[in-house]
Amino acid sequence: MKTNTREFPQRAQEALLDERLQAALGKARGGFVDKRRAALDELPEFEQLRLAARAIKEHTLSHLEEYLLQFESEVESSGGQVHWATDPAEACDIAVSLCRDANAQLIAKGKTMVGEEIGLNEALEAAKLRVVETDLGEYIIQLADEPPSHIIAPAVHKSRGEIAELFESHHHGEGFLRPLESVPDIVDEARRVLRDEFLAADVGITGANMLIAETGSTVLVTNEGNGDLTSSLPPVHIVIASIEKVVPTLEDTTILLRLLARSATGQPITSYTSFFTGPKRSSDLGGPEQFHVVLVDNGRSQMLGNAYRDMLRCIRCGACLNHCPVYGAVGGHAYGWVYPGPMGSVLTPLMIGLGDGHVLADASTLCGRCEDVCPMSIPLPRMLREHRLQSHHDGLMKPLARGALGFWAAIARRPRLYRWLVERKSRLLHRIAGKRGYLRKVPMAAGWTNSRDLPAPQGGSFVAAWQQRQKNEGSGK
Amino acid sequence: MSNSSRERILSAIRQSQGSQPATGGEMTDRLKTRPRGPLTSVADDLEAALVDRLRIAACTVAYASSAAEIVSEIIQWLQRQGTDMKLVRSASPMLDSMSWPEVVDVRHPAEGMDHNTTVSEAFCAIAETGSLVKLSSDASPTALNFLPDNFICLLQRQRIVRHIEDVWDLIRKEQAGMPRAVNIITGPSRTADVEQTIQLGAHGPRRMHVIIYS
Repeated sequence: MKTNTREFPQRAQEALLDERLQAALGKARGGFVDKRRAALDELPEFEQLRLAARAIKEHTLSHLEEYLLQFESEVESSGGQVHWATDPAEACDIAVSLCRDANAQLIAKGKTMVGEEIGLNEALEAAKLRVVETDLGEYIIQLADEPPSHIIAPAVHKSRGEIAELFESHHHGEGFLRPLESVPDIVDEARRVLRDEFLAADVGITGANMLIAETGSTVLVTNEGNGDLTSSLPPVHIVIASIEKVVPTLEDTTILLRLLARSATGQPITSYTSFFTGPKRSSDLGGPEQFHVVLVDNGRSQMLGNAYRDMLRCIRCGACLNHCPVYGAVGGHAYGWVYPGPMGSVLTPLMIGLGDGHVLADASTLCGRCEDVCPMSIPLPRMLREHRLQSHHDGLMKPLARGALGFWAAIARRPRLYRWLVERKSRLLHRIAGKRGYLRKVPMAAGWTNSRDLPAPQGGSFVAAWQQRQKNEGSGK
Repeated sequence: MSNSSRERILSAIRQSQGSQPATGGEMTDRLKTRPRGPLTSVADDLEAALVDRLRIAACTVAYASSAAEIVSEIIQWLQRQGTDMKLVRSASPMLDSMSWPEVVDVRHPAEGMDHNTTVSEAFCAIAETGSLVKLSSDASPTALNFLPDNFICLLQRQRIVRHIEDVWDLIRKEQAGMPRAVNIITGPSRTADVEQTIQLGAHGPRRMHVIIYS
């Protein structure tokens, strides 16, 4: 997939001025946050569950090799196959050759973020396969030829009008309602169009929310039921999953499920939570003849041993996106790659390199809400700081910023000089501001003063005032 | 090629683990003891808790105490929906014992699944979440739960469990391992992908009707 991460500042600017996008984001923001809050208000066990979930993931990561091997052996004993891919290219090659082996022409796809990460659609299409996304949000952005802008609501940036326009320009034939206006009509039209694709598909590809070592099952959480049709109708089911998705037992899976949907959409559980174990049994009516799991590493085995290990606990609920003031203001596309928001700003530089991704680590106020709402208590701000530190070490900061920071550091390490300068500066600003008490323009700070006035210092400094006060108290004795 | 990738990934994991001590006990213990984590509180009356949650999830609920009552409930429900009297039914002792009047066209899944209504029986139900659990089998293809507009699901009153964990114990006790598909179903299919507006009937059933019988 194309990366545009370096352009974050420009894209963020454009996003802020995009009225349609701002309206869509405004609608989404409150919805996700309020629904999650309401769900957690009914769950007094939230903190307990959060601790338990964290412990489960920590334990699993400590024994990752054993659990992956256990998972593999269980998949095989239920008649399925596991394929290992170190990087995106290899994962795509595996998927393409599985499709070729099946003589496939049409691929039905459920939503998979790992699929986005490895550029699966591009690879399948390059191999002359037709790919149809079946999650409504993914289908919409496939028609629009755009990447997802949210990890659980890929088309959250699109308005109803834009979706109707897309459908009207792509769906031709008898019996379509024109003009297309209401939400039920839009959903119905997608249902009708995609139903035929499900029935005709040769291979179904889905992601997995979890992999269960105990049983060799893959877990899929959806509301639409598209994942279940994708995995049950075509003769081949391929699951794409990253290695950190494995959990030990069905009981452990249950703990994560209690947190996942509540943190994501505010539902106690989604409409469909499905567990797939192997291909169809000989006596089963229906179900795929082949069941494949492609395990993708793509840098995760490295993360296990470095400062980003905690990120491997992520269950992709999207709560950090929904609560991030930066994501809420600019939306997902500004981030320029697959994973947006705080979790994306941590993951992206690890996957595409700090050279392209470091700018995302700055796309945060480090306010800490992401960590507060994270059901897995992932210290996202700490890891963003880690990226900033590393990009400073690697000399990736802009020379001006680097110079300014170095200049400030040099002065800050000399307290007398620092105080002297601060006093001068605040007196100067005080004098310039005059009776108004604020400044309309400040050189090199247009970013601040373009949209607001800068309150001027009242003259003098805190240290000076404090010393004066100490002196007064001393003399008052 | 994929074999060497397997080795590469596993050895990279081992290398990364070198710097991190293992925490939280041994792996084999956990797979044997399968400890339960924190449970959510569920009211003592499991049936009432289940029905509350089913309704929140946009299901309709009815009760019956015999095969004949179930048949007449289904016919009335179909009439209320204004839909045709064609349905596909899966198999279970209860479903097999039901006799249908002439007006209803009843098919087995093997004869095709393109009728608008499905009648099948749940493996069990979960009070905690208001969910029905379906297992794939020779009598009940998974697609049958997802293709029709109307999904009618029978539930034997004794088959209501308190927590999701209880389902796992029931499967371990009654089934020879995990079936190909276990579906925990909580209400009709829905989507909020268009402007955050919840719309029922995205790809799966538009309506879900649960008949609890004893």
